[in-house]
Amino acid sequence: MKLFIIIPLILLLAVGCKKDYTAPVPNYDNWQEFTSAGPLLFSAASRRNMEGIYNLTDGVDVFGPNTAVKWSYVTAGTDTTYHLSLFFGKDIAYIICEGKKLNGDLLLNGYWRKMADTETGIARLTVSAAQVALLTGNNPVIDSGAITINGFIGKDDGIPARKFSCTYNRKLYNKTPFKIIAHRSGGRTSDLLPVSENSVAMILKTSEFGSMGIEVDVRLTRDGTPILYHDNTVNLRETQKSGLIGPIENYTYNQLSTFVRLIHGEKIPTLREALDAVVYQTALSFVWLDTKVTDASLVTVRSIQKEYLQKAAAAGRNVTIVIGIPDDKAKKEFLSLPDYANAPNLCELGLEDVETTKAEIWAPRFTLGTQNDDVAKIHAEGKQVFVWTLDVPEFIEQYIRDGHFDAILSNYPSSVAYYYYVQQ
Amino acid sequence: MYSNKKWTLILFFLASFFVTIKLAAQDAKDTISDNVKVKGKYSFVVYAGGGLFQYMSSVGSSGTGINTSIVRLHPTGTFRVMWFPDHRLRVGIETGYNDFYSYKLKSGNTTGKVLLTGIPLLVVWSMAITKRINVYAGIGSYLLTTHLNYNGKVESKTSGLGLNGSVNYVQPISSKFGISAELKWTEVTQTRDYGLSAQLMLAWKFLEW
Repeated sequence: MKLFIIIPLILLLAVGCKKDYTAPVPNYDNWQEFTSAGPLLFSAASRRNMEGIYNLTDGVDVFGPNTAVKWSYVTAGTDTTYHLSLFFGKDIAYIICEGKKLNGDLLLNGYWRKMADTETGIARLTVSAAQVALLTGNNPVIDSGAITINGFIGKDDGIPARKFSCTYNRKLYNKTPFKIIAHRSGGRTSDLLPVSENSVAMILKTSEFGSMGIEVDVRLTRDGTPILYHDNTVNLRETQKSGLIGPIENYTYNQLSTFVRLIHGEKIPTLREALDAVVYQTALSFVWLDTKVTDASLVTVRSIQKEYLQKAAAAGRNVTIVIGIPDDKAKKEFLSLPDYANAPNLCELGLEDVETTKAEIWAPRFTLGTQNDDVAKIHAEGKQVFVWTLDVPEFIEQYIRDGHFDAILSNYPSSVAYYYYVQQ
Repeated sequence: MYSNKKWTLILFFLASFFVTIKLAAQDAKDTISDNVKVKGKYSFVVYAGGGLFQYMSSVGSSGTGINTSIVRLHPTGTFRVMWFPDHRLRVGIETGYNDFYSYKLKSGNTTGKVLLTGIPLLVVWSMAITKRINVYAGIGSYLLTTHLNYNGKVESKTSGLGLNGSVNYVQPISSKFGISAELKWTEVTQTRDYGLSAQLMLAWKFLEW
């Protein structure tokens, strides 16, 4: 009889003691010098001049020997916020800082995170006024060792006390046109990011992770509104508990917008809201519409694609928006579009399907290998090849080194950014 | 993540099941001499009743305002058929009806109502721990339904793995009938909906051989 009580109790303890993993962005708002600093007012040329591969002199044990340093920005109305990102090879780590200027010094305030685990902390970095002066001009010669990013990093919300420094070594690699595409509009909620997957907030954040484009999941609500949502049901993986369950297509957009919030509190965005953010607030240049729509309502998605390609052109933005074709059912619906031949699309199927759909992009899954012969065939037709979804750093490095792809889709764009930019 | 929890729960119930079987077999062996096999009485007992369910999990979508108007106390009902063999372990099936929680939300001039209900379909094991007190453990599936009334009515369904555990006291009122008071924990693991109910049930031994 005792056994009957003890064994279930042990098993219940095992169930009850599940660790809850979190990696909240530390509160880095209490650096007084940064608060009193003025806006960055850094020209595009100065930002570009600062970008490069830097060798670490302090913090090697935490981040590895070198880092790819890259600026990004988002706009909101007339305000533009600039972020400097440092991508590392070790543990898919990055530092993301907002930039401001104080007495000529460049102040960088932000946080670091390792995507391989939940380690995070505050980062406070500076570049001296004398070195900032070297960055002006269109193409100044910046010698190796000329620029040093100095500062301190902390652990979680603790005041940064551990020294960090890195020194400019060379320019970022950019010899082949290449795109870093982020999965689910920037990254997965399950990777403990501070914003939810497939949200406008994620679209505005993803450039900080090194993304140049995004893949978004498109579904239709009951009233035919295209929205960004991955799973086929309203569930706790993607949304907060609201009492609404079951297929997302059961609800109108108005109902979802009123009752449902994504994990970090954002509304489920419409496709229009998402594309508005891409075109008018970011520098992202590519959108892959992974449509879960396999019926005649693909017409709605096509019409929005057409509308936003025109809007982007009118805004002077070079943005490519493609409809993804993941399977035969989607292919059939795509081919039933009256103007399918003019609809930019990305085909995940075989080479012959790329011909049939008149796709400009072939997107094979990474498990099929680098397929350099087939990639060469597609390139010979003037088309591009994107590979998906590469998340393991060793594979990312290998596919960049040995493959000839034009883009990599990943949940860890910062890792792709590191391995792409550090090439010699 | 859910998958791991699901398998842990399944293992938990399988382990409980086999340990109980073993103990029940041991008990039966203790009461039967080596040479004489005595078959006891077998019966089917149906339990039917209802009571109140208190939802104990968190609910809330930040920014929607639903957190302020959640009703957590709702009626609940249970229908269970148990097979009583001539040893301690009993097995049966259970269904019923659960209103988990409901709330109203006003947006502009429109008021929306949400009610989440569940219908369990569980395999249940039970064992008497004293003459009139029994413990129950069940595992199976819950058919969950959202009843939404906001700019149109929606009934949206999904199913989720769930379990329950209860303890009841049965007061006999005749040779075939009894009144049962039951305290029951109900949990739909997949949607993290759980709570405690107190129910009064009628027990009827409708078949015996």
